[in-house]
Formats: sequence, C-alpha cells, structure tokens
Amino acid sequence: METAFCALWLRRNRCAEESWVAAARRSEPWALERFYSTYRDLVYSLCFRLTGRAEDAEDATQAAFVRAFRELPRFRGDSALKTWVYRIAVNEALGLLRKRRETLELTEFTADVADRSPAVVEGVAVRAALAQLSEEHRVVLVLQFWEGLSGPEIAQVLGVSLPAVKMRLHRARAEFRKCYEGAG
Amino acid sequence: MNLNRSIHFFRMRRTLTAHHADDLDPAARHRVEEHAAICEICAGELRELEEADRRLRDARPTVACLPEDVSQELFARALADSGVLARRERRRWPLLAGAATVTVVCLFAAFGARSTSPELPERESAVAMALNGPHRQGPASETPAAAPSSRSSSRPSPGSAVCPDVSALSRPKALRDLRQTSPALVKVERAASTHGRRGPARRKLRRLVHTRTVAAHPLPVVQPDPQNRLEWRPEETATHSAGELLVLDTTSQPAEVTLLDDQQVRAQIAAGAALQAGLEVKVSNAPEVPAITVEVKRAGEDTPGVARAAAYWSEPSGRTLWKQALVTTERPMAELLLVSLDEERLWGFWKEKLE
Repeated sequence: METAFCALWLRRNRCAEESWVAAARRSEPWALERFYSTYRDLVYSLCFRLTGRAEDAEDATQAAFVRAFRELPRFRGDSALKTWVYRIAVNEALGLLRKRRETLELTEFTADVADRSPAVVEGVAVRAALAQLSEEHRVVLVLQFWEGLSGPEIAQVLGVSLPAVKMRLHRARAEFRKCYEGAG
Repeated sequence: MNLNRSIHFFRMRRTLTAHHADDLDPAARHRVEEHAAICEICAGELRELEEADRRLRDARPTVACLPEDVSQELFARALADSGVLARRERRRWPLLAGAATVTVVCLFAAFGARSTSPELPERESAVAMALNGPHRQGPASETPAAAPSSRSSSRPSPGSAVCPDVSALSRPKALRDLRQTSPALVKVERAASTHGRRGPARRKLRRLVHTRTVAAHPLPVVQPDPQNRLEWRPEETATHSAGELLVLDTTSQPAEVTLLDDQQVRAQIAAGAALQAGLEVKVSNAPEVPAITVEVKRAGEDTPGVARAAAYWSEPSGRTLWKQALVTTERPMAELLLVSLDEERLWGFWKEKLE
C-alpha cells in the first residue's frame, strides 16, 4: 500500500516537473524561476564543495545558471535534469578554478578549526588532503561521497564510461590515502 | 618476508578494490572474505579502504543555503546575462511579421474605407477598428457617446460596409476594389513587400508590429483610442490562461481602471501608455491558497526587475480563488501596476515601484 502511494507521489511529481521543464525549455520566465528555485541549493552546495569558498561558489552558481538557461532549449532529456544540471555546475566550478589558477584554499573550511575535537580535526585533515588531489580525482570523490551520486550518475555528469569512473575512483582513493597519511 | 607481503598485496590489490567497490560476483566475494579471515595483510587493506571512505563521508561540509536576497540577485543576474528573454522576443518577430502585414493592410484599408464613410463615429479610430476586428465596429448611425453598458448590445454583424472584413481581403475582387478606393493600401503593400531587414522603413514596420506584439502577448488586448481609453476584451484572450490579469506600465503615466456594469471591463488611463517591449508576464493558477505575497524588485542598469503579486477573491461558498503573476522587465526603474480583472469584478490590485 505504502509503495503504491510512493509510486503515485513520484508519478505526480514527475508529471509536475515535466510540465514546468517543458515551459523552461521555451524560456518562459516563470518556469526558469521554478528551475532556479529547484536546483539553486544543489548547485550552490556542489560549487561550494568544489571551490571551497562562498564567493567562488556564488560566481560559479551564477555562471552555471547562465549556461543552463541558454542550454535548456537544447536539453533533450537523454539524462535526468538533475544530472544535466550537475554536469554544468561541475564544469563551471572547475572552469572558475582553472581560470583563477589557485589551489583550494581552506579559509572557509577551517573556519571552525577553533573547535579541537577529533572529528573536527579529522575533517580539516580530510579537506586538506582533498585539496591536494588532482582536479579529476577531487571531483569524483566529491560527487561520490559528498553529493551521494551513484557510479552511473557520476559517469553521466562527467561524460565518461562507468568503468572509467570506477578506475578514477580507485585512483582517487589511493591518492587521497597517500595525501591524508602524508599530512597526518 | 616484506618482499612476500608486497608480492601478495600486489596480487590481491585489484581483487580487494573490486570487493570494496562491490564489483565481484557472490562466489568471488565469498572467496575474498574467506581469505581475509585468515590473511592479516588483506584484512588490513580492506579495513583501510573502509576507513578512508568513512573519513571522506564524515568530512562532508554542511553548506548553508543561499540567503534569499543573494539568491534573488543571482537569479536576476543569471537571467540578464543569459539573454534568454531578449532571444525570446527576437524569436517572436518572424511569426509576428505575417500578422503585422495583415494588420498594416487592414489598418490602411480601414483608413481608406473611412474616407468613404463620413458618418463613421469620430471616437472610434480606424486603428482600433482594424486591430479589434470588424465585428466590433458599430453601425454607421450609432454615436460613440453611447453608454458603456450599451456597447455590447450595439455590436453590428460582421461584414459591415464601413470597415472591410479582413477575410474579404483575401478575395481578389474585394482586394482589387479596395485598392481602387484606397491608393494608400497599395503603397503600404508595396512597402511591406520590399522592406529590407534594416533601415527606417523596417523600424516603422517594427513599431507597427510592436502594437501587435502586445496583443499577441498573453495579456488582454489593450489599445488606446483617441480619447485615451483602454478597453479589455475578454473574448480575445479566452485562449490564454493569463487573460484575467492586466499589467499596465505606469512609469510615466497614472492609470485608472474602471469596471463596466455590463460585465465588460474597461481600463482608462490618463495618457494612453502601452506596454513596453521586454516585459514578460506569466499568470498562473495554483491549486492551494498560499500566503499572499507581493515581491517587487527594482530593475538595475544590467539586471531585470522582477515583480510578483497575487490576487485573491473569496467565493460566496467560502472557497478562495487566487492567481499569481510574475513580471520581469529589463527596463530600469520601471513601475508597474498589477491589476487582476474578472469579467464580473475587480479582484484587487497593487501598485508598487520596482525596488
């Protein structure tokens, strides 16, 4: 019974999304606003986790939505809209980092380092280790562990095959362990 | 011993990683677990892999949501930078060009016909007649000073001799007759067919097309007549869900809305302001009654303003109906009047500066 309700709820949500996505593809302002309000937090948090700074995250979020608004008419629905948005956000965040040619700074992440509890210290060490990783490896770990995406979803976001994602994850883990142990 | 450990680890590493990534079939998985139970090296490696994953998961930073004002600003900037609103307008032009040609032809046809009909009421301009269609034209003997309540009953039948029917223009003979009585029509037809993509002639045509753009917009058809009166015709917007909300640009002119007692709605404004290009309006119904909010944002130099308003009305049964409107304009410092109109009543309105 509960499953039936869930299925009904999901179907209703999907129908509702389909209606405004179609309008958003026609660039209707109300639908673009709906699109924005649906995905802004998701895009912003992803950008923040990739760039590590609130200002950069805001810039990347804006750039991501500019591109999304432009590209929406060409969105064919081959992948889920969420995955498509992730892909744009990842590209914009990485593009911004590349443009600035800066390594990830820890100004935002270490804001709470006054708290010396083991969990906080470990968190800072993990983020420091992540900051040392190559861009490719950092992205794949952020998508997997912080954004909770599955392997196939990461493959769609990054535009690579599933085996390539697995290989990247394996190498990223190894690099992360090396950096973390080196820092420790 | 160390060499043996390294060789063993090297051999097993790929299998252990596959086990950790849940890529092994059940039989292989079982074999690895049996091996790990007796092999300290592999058990340690599996523990290390688990531990690394746990560390990564636990270090997930919590990100505060964007503050509402920052979020609105980002949206406005993204909308402006993407240029989708401008592109939307441009896409409409080719479609409207055809409508414009018909409008121009009909407009001049009406002028031509007017010269042959001295009894045409002065107040009813030929432009308004052409845009509103011949069915709106009153009979020749009817005076324009008729009370508003009598206007609906005074509509003549289509095909009046005063204003030629648009459909009649498609008939070669009717068109030929009209050309003979109206040289201006011939001139405009030639100009319309030879208009280039640029130049003053094209701009003139665009101004005319813009008049029609307003009508093609999901808004009530609002055209000023010589007396600066605006009339709302519900039947012309029946196909639009947005037909019941009127947005007047009152940046430089005050506006006044009056409701007629014969269930027509007429809006009168002081100096006949029409909607400006770049104004986007969307009105939607909602299944539930939300908190009524009015949000207005001033349009900056490079950011569009966004105005949001909701109109509500309670039915005698107690059910509340409401509509909401989102208006986006790229004009700086615009001031809009949002008026929600029904055939029977004025629901309510807000007049807000975009700020």
